[in-house]
Amino acid sequence: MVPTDFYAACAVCALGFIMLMRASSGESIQARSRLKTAAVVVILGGVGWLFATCMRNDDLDASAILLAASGFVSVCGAAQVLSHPRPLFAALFFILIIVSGAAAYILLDASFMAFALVIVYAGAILITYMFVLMLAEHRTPGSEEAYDRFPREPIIAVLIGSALLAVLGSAIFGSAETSRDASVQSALASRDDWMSLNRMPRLLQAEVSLAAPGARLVAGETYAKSDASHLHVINGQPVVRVLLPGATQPSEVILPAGAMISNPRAVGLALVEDFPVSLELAGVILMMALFGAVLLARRQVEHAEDERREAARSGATVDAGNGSGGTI
Amino acid sequence: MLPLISTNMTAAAACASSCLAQIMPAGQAQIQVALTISALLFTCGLVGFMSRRNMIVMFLCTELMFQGAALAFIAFGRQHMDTSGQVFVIFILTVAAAEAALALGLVVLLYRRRATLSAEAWGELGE
Repeated sequence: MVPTDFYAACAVCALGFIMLMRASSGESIQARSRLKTAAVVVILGGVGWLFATCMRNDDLDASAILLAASGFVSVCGAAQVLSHPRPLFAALFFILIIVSGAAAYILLDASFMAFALVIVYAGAILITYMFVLMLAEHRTPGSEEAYDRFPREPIIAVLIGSALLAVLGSAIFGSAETSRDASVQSALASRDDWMSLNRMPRLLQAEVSLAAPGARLVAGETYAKSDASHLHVINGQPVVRVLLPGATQPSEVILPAGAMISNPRAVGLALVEDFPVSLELAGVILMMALFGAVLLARRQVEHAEDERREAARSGATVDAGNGSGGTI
Repeated sequence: MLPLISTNMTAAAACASSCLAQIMPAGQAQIQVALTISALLFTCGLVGFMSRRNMIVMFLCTELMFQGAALAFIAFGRQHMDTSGQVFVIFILTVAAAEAALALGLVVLLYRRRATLSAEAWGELGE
């Protein structure tokens, strides 16, 4: 069930983006900045309306509001990226998007990915972009290139974008599944989290030693015949079968809540245990990118080489064996 | 049946309550806001890719689309309480890094040939 004012909010956002793109081709600097401010206000209004349609449910909590705040920052940054006349500032605003995106990741319980995002994106990729931009651009403020100031077909682009946003919105609201009971799902996830400790016996042994000093792990053959796992979740509580020092019969220890594996550990376990082939493939992709970059950078290309080649070709003597034919 | 020795019943009760507190189910509003942000980022990236003329900013806009997709992965992973979504984001980061290395090398090469970053200088490639 899609609220109809989601589409109205999409239209408001589209209007704001069209104003924003018109703003960069304004006559004077004052007119440009005035139009830009108005456009940003319209966009923020539209985005706020979009978020308000999402938050109409009863289960509104603080993290949804904080997520919406990080979304406002992200969209402001995105608006600057696609309208700023100086590309270097566009790259800086992209870093703002990365930081607010990391905040959203933390709110969504993905703390490892939040830090990885900041380190890899803001620390490596965006810095590379800025190096290349500074290599290619020698502009002073106010003398931006025409191709940076005048967008190409802004109205058609924004119309296509708002149509895409409307379709995505209908998918977002259409797929909002409420069929599964949230508490049942939570209990299952909690059980899975505890059971994944079975795949890390050394960590489990360390946690057991903290809970009961001197205890050794034994497999719990009483619960299922072919089940060699040490940890079982019984009534929502993580129970480990251990052999206490001096005892002949195994006994059971309940782990404290702090023993549950943390997010980086869970991601690492999933990466290595569940997707080992994909991990290798990622390595191959990086290797190929390395080879490709070396291959691209190997050949020396003179400035304005094509123009000189054109001039040489139009002249009477064409040296066929010149060998300056470009291969990229 | 072996005797069940629980070390401390009060500790067990505290554990049961805090286990529930540790993993809260994702609220519907939270997931929808996150998905809306991701849709907005993806749309901004698409609009920027279509409307900007500077080749480097066009590639920056594809990175914006990557961001939108990654946020959707994280949000769905949170909804289903599964770490696979975060693992996919690791691969997205890998592909983004590889793409940045290759695309920027290509852009520098193209800039040296025509001394401009405008994508329209290479318009004849599409003819």
